[in-house]
Amino acid sequence: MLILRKHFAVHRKWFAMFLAITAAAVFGYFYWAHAHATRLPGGSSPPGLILGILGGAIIIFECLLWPRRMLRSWRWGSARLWMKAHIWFGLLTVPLILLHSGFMWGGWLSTILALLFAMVIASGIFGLVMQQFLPRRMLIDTPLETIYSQIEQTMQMALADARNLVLATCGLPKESLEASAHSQPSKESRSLPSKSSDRREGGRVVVGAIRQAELIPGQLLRVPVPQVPVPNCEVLRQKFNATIQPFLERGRRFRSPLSNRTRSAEFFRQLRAVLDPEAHSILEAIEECCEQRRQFDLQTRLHWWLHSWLWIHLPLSMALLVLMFVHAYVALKYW
Amino acid sequence: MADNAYEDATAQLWEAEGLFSRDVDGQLIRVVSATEQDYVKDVTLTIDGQTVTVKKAVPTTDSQGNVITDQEGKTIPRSTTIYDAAAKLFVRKPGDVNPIPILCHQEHMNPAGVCRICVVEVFRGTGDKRRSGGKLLPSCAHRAEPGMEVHTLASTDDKSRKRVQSCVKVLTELLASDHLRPKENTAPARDKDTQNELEALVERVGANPTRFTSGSPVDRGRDNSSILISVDHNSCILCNRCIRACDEIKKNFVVGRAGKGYTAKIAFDLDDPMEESSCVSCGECMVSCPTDALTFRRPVVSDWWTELVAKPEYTAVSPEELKKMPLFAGVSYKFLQWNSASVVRRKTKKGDVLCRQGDYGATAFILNAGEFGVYIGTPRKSADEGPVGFFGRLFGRGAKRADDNSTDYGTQVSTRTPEHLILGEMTCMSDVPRTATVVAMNDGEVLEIRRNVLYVLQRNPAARKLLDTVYKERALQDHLRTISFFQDLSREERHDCVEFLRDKVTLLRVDPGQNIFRQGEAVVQGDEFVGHFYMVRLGYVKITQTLHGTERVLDYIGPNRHFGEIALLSKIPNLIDQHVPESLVARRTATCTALDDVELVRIRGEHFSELILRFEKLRNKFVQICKSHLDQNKPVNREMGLPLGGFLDQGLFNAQTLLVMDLESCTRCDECTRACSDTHGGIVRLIREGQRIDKFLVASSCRSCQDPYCLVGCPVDSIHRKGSLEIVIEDHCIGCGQCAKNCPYGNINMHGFDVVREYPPDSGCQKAVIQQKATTCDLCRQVVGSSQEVSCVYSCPHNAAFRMSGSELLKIVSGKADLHADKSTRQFLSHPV
Ligand code: HEM
Ligand code: SF4
Ligand code: SF4
Ligand code: FES
Repeated sequence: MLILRKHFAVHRKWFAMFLAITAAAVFGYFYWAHAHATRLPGGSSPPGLILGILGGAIIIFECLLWPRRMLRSWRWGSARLWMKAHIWFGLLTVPLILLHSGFMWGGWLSTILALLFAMVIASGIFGLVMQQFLPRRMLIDTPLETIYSQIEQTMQMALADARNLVLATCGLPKESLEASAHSQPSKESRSLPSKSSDRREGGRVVVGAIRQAELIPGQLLRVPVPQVPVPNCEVLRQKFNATIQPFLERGRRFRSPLSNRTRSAEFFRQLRAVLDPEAHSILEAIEECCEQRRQFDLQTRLHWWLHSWLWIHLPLSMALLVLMFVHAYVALKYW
Repeated sequence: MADNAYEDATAQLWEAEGLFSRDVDGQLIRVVSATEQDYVKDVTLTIDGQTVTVKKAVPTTDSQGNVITDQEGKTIPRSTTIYDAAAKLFVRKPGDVNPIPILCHQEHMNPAGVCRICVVEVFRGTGDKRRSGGKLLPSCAHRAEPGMEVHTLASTDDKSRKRVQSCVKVLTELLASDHLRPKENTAPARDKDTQNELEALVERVGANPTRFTSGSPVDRGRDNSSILISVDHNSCILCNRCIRACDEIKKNFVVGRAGKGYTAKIAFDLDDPMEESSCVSCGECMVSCPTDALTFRRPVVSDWWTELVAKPEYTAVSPEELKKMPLFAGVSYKFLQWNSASVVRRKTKKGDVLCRQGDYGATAFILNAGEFGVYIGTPRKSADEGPVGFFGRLFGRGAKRADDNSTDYGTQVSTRTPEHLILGEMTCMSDVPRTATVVAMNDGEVLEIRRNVLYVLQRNPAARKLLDTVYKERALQDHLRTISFFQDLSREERHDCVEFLRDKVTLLRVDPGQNIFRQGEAVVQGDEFVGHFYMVRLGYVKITQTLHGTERVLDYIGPNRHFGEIALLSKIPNLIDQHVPESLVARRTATCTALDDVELVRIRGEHFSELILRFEKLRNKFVQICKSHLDQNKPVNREMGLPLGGFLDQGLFNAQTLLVMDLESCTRCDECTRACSDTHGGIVRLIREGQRIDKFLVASSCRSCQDPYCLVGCPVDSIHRKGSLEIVIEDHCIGCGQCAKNCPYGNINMHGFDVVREYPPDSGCQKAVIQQKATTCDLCRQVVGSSQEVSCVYSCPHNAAFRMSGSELLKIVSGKADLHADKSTRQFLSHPV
């Protein structure tokens, strides 16, 4: 959730609440300390206890974000309201818990608890920071981005397109031409889909029109495909098989000059120089596929930074919750 | 026929060649196709002694009577046929009977001319030269020619009438002997009231249906595979109606022909069983079939109907009853049977409200008895706006509509009686909210019909003409009441202006892409005005200007705005002419093109000038408007730096509830998609992909078009707007996919639902089948109600998802509005921040 600059307007009230409660807590704490002539009252002192209960309640509330997320169709406050509350109450726990601790580590349990708490807070702040920058970066650097879970599938489609383009430009490979001269249709030539098998799902009858989102407006790749193979294009096939295809398939995981934009441009420049001009539009389309691959790789990376911190934040906060109850039980019992 | 009817033997040969003919040199030539010039040429002929004049050709229309164009945007001329001329002469209003019977032809289809039931005898020449054409001509396919003397079944000329009668009778007997099978033998057994057009024809011409019955007709078999439609090939007369229905009307291209001679039959795809073919089960072929060859298995029943008929004031209406009403005379009987749950009868008592101003609706009312008051009030708040309190915000609640039960309807503007035939057709036909509240003034009766019934009504030319007249008149009167530039005038002035215009306005329909006028065109020729003033009633118009060879989009204009005044005003001296370059005085300064289906209210140039000269206040106002347009003189693209053209190309102007994501805030967490799926039982109605505009993503989810393309043509009317903005797809959807095909933005998807049905049909076995149904975003209203925020927006934790109209998006992108601004600046659905 963005909180900086013009987005701060949305958070102003929350920030004010944060400041006010922090100020009140600090004032109350030190006022009590002053009145009772103690230096830093601990968790068992009245203000410490109150702050502890408050902080604990907030931590329970913070953890409620998880069930809120899981029960999306329930109407118990909009997600953005919860998020705002989560951020600002979460931050509020810092002064509250700090005061509650009386600025001491305490025993081993409370030390672990404090460390957990610090990590939860740190990971939360880290995530929030990522959210301030990475979406904008994606907007600018990965204009071809797609839905994260669809990346591999989209790439498979692009690869199939690219393969067909190469086939149209270079013609069938020599071996398969020879083979098909003597024998049955090659494995590659697809048999016509049979209507009945198309319409039946798992042998069951389908009634009505099968039509899925096919019209999503997007950039269509319109490439003039050569009607007859362009001569002297064997090098394109070779390069495609050796370098381009593995890159499109596996992206960054395959070490390739294509994963670098500059070197990729150079690669295609060289290829263009040796190819018939008629094949240039094809080459451009394939280059575009490579660019898409690079952007998908970048998107994957950014996506990781945007979301994987939650794998620290979430489990640790659950651990924190559990330990916090233990801590409260122990503290009250042996008080 | 006596040989001496011909001048010579060659002439007889010529005629015998039918569609082919010979020119003066005896060369075989084809019939010349009609041209656009023929639209203005008159052809006068006599039919059964009465003279009728028709145009030589008319533009080809689709099944709804809309003119269709080819790829270059040109109309496709079609010769006027003898049957058309007879219809013009004898069918003045719905229910009138054309003396020419038809069987393979239907008025909303292109003629195929295969059954020859429509034959007529034609004489040419007068006096001594009067000669019969010899062969009888199929009137549905044969064009009307000047001077023809046509004799039909009802001719007063005994000889001709008998000739036509005996011919039609024999043809009917031949067809009936082979294909009209005893009712018990049809499958499923035809109930006594099922109207078979062949059977009706047997009765009409007094034919003997068993005259030619042979011992064992060839058995062409049955196809029982489809759940929706039962196919009995033996009843099929090969009239091609189903083929044209599937190919030309629905454009599904499934039905064709297979076999030869006695085994010739209709076939699905490559003669596959119907269920295994690419048939989408829309039922169009079945409602088009004149015989028992294609019949439905069970009628469509909607929840709407079931709920209504459970109430005491509503009753069901049988298809026979409907068929007896003149208005429904031209409607396919099978359609009425199949969709009888699309009509209910309502007994009204004094004070009953038929519909409320401001609501969307999907039904029209045919007035059978009683009087109904039409009231117009101040536009009330829709469910989508209004204040929201703190707790409302917390629980995502919007404002409640307070005046649903109010009895303050505003002022009564007219009274409607059965004489006025129909009410509420406007909302049904053009998807605008109801423009008035209608209240019963005494006990009465109405038939409430749904859109699909209205659609088939409009297929019939006579009914269409009637509905169109009613519609146009009401639309104009309605528009006069709401003209925006009258707003500042005093009551009396406004009244005077409206009275002045009352009979001087015309309603025009313009198709998408059609030019209304072009830059540089003169508005006067000699003393005559050829350019006019236009007000937009429905749809959007694009205004473009070409400067130094590049075309720029200046603006787009929607309902209640107007255009065309600058050229007209500049013609009047001393108003704005000094602001217009001399070369452009009385000429159009820009080009106006329809963006979608546009309805314009036109005031002719001379009347507009008169209006302007007569009413000073109006004059000053227009002068001011024009000056501000002209003086701005800035780089004319008023949305500077904005891809306004692209905005229009994407149809965003039409959108009311775009799902827009701020890609700077959106973490691509897909919570919105998951929430959508969770809200709708696992079937997601949004895809987080689509057009990008500036930093925004317009996701693929229903955008509630002002003029929704998807609503057009649903055969069972399961997709519509009810009370409010959202598009609702009801459970009785038969999964034909028409709506998904119609939506240009891919926002309707077909989804397979598991249902248990009797399969194979009539086998008594129950089997799980996958029933396709259309699904689309309903703004969550069927799930969470109309006062709640949509799930996608509600569940976005990052304040990145918004619902807004296209124009709001445009404002935000061009910096005229703030995305996070006060909610009151945005109309609806945008969430409180
Ligand atoms: C007391 C400490 C905290 C606890 C116990 C806690 C707990 C949680 C939990 C349980 C979740 C839910 C994870 C999910 O939705 O799957 C969560 C999410 C989150 N927390 Fe915290 N949190 C704490 C403090 C903070 C702080 C101080 C911040 C930021 C300043 C923060 C930022 C976030 C964010 C941004 C998310 C949502 C990530 C997303 O939706 O992508 N948290 N936290
Ligand atoms: S809602 Fe759509 S898919 Fe369903 S019957 Fe109507 S047009 Fe066909
Ligand atoms: S829920 Fe919000 S942040 Fe998440 S993907 Fe949807 S719009 Fe983006
Ligand atoms: S109706 Fe004219 S030929 Fe069949």
